[in-house]
Amino acid sequence: MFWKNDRNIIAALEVGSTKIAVAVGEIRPDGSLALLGVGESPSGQVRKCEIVDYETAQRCVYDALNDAESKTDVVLNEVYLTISGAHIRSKNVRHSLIVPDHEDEVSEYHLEELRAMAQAHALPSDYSLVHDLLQHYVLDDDTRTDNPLGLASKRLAADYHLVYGMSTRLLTTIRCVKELSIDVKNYALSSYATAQAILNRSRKMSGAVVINLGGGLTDWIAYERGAVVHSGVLGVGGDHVTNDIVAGLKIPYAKAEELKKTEGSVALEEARRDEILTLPQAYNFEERRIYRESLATIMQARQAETLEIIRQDLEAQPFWENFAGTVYLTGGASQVNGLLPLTRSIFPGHVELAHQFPLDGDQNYAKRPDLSTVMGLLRFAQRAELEAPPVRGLARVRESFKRVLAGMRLF
Amino acid sequence: MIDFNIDGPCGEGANGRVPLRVLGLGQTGIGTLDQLVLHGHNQFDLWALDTDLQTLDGSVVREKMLLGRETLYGMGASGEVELARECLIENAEELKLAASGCKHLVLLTALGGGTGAALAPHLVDLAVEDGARVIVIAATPFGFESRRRHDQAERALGRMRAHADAVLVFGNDQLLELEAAKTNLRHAFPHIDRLMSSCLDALGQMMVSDGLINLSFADMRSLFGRFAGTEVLENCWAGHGDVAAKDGAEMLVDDILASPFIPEDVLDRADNAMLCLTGGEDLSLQDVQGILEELKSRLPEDFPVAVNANMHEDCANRLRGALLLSVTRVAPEALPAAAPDELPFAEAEEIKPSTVTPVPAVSGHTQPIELPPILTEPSEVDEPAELEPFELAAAEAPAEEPAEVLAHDSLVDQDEEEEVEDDDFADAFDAEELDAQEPDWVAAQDAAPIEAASLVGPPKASPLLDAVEVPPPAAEPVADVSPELPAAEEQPPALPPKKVPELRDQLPLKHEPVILPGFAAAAGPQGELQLEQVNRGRFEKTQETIYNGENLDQPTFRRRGLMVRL
Repeated sequence: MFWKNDRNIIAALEVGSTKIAVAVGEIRPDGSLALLGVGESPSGQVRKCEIVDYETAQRCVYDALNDAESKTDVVLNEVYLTISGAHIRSKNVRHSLIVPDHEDEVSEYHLEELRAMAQAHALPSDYSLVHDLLQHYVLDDDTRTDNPLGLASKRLAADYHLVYGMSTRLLTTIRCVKELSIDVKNYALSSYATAQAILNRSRKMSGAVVINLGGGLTDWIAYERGAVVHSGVLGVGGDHVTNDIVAGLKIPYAKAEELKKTEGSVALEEARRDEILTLPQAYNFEERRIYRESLATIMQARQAETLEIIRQDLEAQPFWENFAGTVYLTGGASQVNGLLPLTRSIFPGHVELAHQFPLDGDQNYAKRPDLSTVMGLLRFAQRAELEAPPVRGLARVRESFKRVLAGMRLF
Repeated sequence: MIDFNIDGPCGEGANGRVPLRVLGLGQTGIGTLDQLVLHGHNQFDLWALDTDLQTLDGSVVREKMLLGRETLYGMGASGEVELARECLIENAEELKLAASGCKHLVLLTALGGGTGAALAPHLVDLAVEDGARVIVIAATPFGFESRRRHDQAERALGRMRAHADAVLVFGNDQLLELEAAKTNLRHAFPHIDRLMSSCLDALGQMMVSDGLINLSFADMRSLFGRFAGTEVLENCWAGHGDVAAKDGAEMLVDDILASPFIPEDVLDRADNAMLCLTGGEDLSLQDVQGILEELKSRLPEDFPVAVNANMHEDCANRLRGALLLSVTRVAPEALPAAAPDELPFAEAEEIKPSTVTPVPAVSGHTQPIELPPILTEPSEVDEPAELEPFELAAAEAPAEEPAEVLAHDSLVDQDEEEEVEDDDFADAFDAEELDAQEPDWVAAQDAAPIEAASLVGPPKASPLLDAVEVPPPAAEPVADVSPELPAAEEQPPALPPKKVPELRDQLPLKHEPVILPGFAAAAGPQGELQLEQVNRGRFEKTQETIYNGENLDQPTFRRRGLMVRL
């Protein structure tokens, strides 16, 4: 039968403020994941990870998908999507139930009911649930366990980390992809996806905070004892640094972006006082001379402020008092010179630049921190695919036909 | 014939507004107003504002306004800024009423308490929005008070300096040296109130009265509107003297300099002075000259003193004088050590490339006259209040306004440089618009204060005498002189540690003043930082990112008042 040789292709799409990236991978029969390639397109009219101009953004998504298809020679008909934006909120909740007297042990039914209660948790109006991340179960003697099945307890509680966002904004991004005849199979919070690329089980257990310094916004997620205990999003990113440079040095945006990437630094002490950078003359642009110190002052002020806000947010969480884990930095803006010493001066514990765990397959993208989110999403997709019940019978035939038809699309 | 308007708020520029309103905010502000009323100087429009009913009840000011009636129940803000901020919402209308409808607003407050620190910057913003010119007279907390109070005072001061035209800051620590305060605490605070009220009296005399020898608002701003941040906290010292006319100049100067609020080492810190003299109907020019000479003999050589003199019928056979000493520069030791040949002043050439002919030799103490704020208020260019006496007296032809030419030229130069490239992000940022809204405030630090006393006759007198003090020929160029100013050598360290002290202290605050060909004095445009109206640039179409009341879309360095050299 023609569907027997179907490859299990998964694709992860990230609509970012700087670029739109599509990572395409293949789940091999043994369950391992191989990266086939990454398609990219600069994103226009996406600010703070939210779409400002729908048509332009959609064209950019289309370009990125096309790029990915041409690089990997596969036809995409469904993707996993990252969700982000300054509207995302999160909180920790606890739901509990009484195990009836005639049932002497915790069963699957109880866990499902707890999860249903978490999903039905009252959210602000206009907000929808993005994730209900289980932290742990609590038995009636206050012991915590990850798997209470078969244990005896009269009362069972579950702690969940709920992530939710404004429904309209979430739908805008999803609709932008769906209108291109691409199904959104599932979605994940951007910071949650990033953590999957950087943290393995042991790092999650020993405690970790992953800070993703993106172009449009900065997000962070904290793990303790293997579970997500906090996540946050701040609508400030690398674009703000560039914007500050434009305002401070009075140069055009494109020049400021280039200057930030080539000469940018947040190490004030290294910026010698009278060292001068020269922006060469170009079409419609006269030669400009800029003090390196001014550039460093502007960038350091913004980056230090962002990190301080994150620290203040973490300090307000109960877990932070006893936190002994590592702070990992990733994202495109983490490549700036001098970031590590600056972060170490702000965060008390151990800080390091994160590296993705290597994937099989195409190795060209393995060391790029700005792709850590989309790579993490690929791992998220891999796990979701493996955990999903296998498709059998007529459903499988339908899936295969769907893929064939998707290959015939005319856009 | 030159059309001549009265220089000051009583002229046509007043437009039916109250010429001068004085707001006393908080306990200190109201205490100062009380002193004013008790000494009979209540010719101004006085308003007392506080969150504490008890203080208001005890005041003799006629117009009183209790803030936060619903939230604080008239019990005061207890030094809590957050509490006092709640009044911003509850009393939005009242605050707007208090800050609007006047031509000049003087705000008296102490910044250590909650009411002053929270509401004063807001009142300044409201008044500036309404088009008033704002002078703030503020007192900073004692050195022994808590760090939190110092921080909130510094934050409030930074915000006010960004918007107000002039900010006079007195340090409460001056009281510690006071003999009366050493015996009894109760005697201390009326002294600071009295100090602020004498200072206010001098200001009011300068701005409202039609002086014989006149100083304008530009002079005021030149002396006290120089700092945009909090690199210098205490920038004003005042002394007051009142003697019989027959006692003469020597006695008056003795009386002024014996004031407890002019400490002995103040001349090491202050670098400019302003003297306001009031005499009877028989005050003569010789008297003024005598007093000025006597004063100058007590001050360091070449110490710039600007003089305002007028007559008042209440002062028959009396001589009154108020001396305001100011700091207009940051101490050189606050600047980073640099070799003499690579001082930051050299960069002025890059900033004003072609329109300026630098005069190489100007003494470090001889200060140029400040340009009128043409850039910010183009509609009021014709008002004499905007023109310094120097121009009034010297320029017969109003068309020749080199200052304006200079200002526009420099703007054009910058604009030409800043065309946004047409790229994929062409929609992103309108640099020109941003630039137009945001004058070059770094260069605004350059403008040096006045050292000219221009003799202008009574309003109806046509001949205008020019008494501009000609600066002595300079012995050495500015770049060699300024960092070694004796006046600034013993600048005390700022009271509370700042959040980013190392950066702010290291950056240079001055450039070489712009000097026009043919003019003895130099001038530079005095810009103002308009934080609230800054273009958000790339993020114009997005939802604002607000954190703790701060709009994070606006550049951090600007919100924190960091200097950026261009």
